[in-house]
Amino acid sequence: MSQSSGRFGGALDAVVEQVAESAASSISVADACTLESFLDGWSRTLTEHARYLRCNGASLQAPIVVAYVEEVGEFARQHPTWERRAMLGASYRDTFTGILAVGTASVGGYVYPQRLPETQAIETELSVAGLLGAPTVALMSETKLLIWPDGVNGDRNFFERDLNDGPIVIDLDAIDRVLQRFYEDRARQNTKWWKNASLRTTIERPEAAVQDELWLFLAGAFSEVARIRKEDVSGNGRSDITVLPFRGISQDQSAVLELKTLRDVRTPTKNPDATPAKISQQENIEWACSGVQQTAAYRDHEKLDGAFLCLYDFCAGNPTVVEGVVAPHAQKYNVLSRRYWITASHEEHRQDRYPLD
Amino acid sequence: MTLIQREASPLQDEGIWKAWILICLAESDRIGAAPLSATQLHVTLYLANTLAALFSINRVRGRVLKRGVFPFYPDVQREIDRLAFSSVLEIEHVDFGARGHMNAHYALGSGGAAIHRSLLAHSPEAMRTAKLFRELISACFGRFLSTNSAIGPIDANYGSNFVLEGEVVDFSEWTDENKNLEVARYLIDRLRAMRPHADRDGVRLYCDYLDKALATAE
Repeated sequence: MSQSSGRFGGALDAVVEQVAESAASSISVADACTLESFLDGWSRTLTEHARYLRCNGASLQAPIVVAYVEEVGEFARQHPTWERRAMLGASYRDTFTGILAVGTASVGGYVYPQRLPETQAIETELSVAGLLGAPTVALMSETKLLIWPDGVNGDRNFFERDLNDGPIVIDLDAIDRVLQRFYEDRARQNTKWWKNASLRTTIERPEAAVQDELWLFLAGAFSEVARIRKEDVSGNGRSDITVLPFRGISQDQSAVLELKTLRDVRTPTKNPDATPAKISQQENIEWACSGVQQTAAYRDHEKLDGAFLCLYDFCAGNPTVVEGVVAPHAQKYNVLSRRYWITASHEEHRQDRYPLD
Repeated sequence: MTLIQREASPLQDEGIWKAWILICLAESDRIGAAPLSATQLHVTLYLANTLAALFSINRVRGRVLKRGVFPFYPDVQREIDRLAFSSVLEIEHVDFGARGHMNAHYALGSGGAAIHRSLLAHSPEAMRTAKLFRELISACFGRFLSTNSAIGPIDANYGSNFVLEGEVVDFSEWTDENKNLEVARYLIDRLRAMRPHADRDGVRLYCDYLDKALATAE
């Protein structure tokens, strides 16, 4: 047996240093086998595979589809014809074309025994395997990646990521632009986060829903150049979302995002028919201002470049009072405060965007 | 109970070893990595022992006999086989090698899943142990451990030339000799700017090291 004893016993010093130099991009976004970890890992693998195809002047001959299941062993027992592929996804150079696979980690899983040439066949097999509601990542071409967070038949729309070889800028302005795009593309709608729009009751945990969706959106925009994490422990609290670039480029900037929802009423939880309890403007102001303190503290504690306070405002009439009260506090602590109004109806949207003076 | 007392208590160790074996196989099953060969199982158990402190878990044993190119616990193999013959695990198949050597491949048995669920429901330590194995198996399988279990020569503890073949590799913490943990903590410190999680990223980074070191050594 060849042996050595360097700084760390038998460990090869040069390789330890190599890992230290190159591992920034592999720092985890979440615990192993969580949905976040799966989506992040497979999005990266398929994005790298697409780049590999483009570099070689090749095109993807058939979609590559990977679905998330929590218990892969159980799935395999129920679908004995699917084949175990322990190293699936370990290398982006593999021939993935036409693969339909399930997994819970970013590497390994089970694949459907035949390669599938087109989307109709894939949908059929997803249906047969009971995977239409399973979160799914698919590389559709060498320039397009799709993510269905609730499955291809799920309530939420898919996220589309255009893959190209253009430079990706990640600084506070770029993050701000992505937040605005998220608002326009995903958040400004009148269905998914409302429980009863006419009563202005939201779903029970609106902040968590916004956080999930925003995390996916930011990951789509930046995961090639940054780790996007939810619920990072910071000091005595947890930051909602952190954006941590890993390229080591001096222009890159990191940020923490604190998300707060502003509402007119609390959503009844025990008795859905109960009259919703009102939330006063003062309560919303205090809630929003607490976000200024949180995000500034997280930024300073973690020595990040920027802090955003994102107010998702479900209140009627697009009121600007909270924004006005928050502004001087945000300015004092150099927090970028943004308010995004969530409309409850098409009419509200039209009146807001196309006023008749 | 102190570490010394626990290491001197073979009866309790047997129980903890059985729990670790079961949790390891259950997490492998969840990920789709099961069945595990005996070799893979011993390597995973060894790595879990060396990195347990990252998850605030008491390791079962801080020593292993250095013999061959991968860590192996002969007495633990007895517990693995007892679990298999009591249907907690099952032997999915056996590879027969030269000179009577054989390598069984273990999966979760018919009784194993229920015991595993019960274990996790009643013990926060078991939950943490499951988390450790989940990280470890995700980080090892699909990479080096699918094809190469011979981590001995490049493992920080096992590969040290201060320990000769046939001697005991002792990584008990009080002797400050757990080099695997030192590598993990060194890498965590080096990547501090990326705010790594000491537990999960510590495990992943050490496995990153093993993966690259095995590729280099080949």
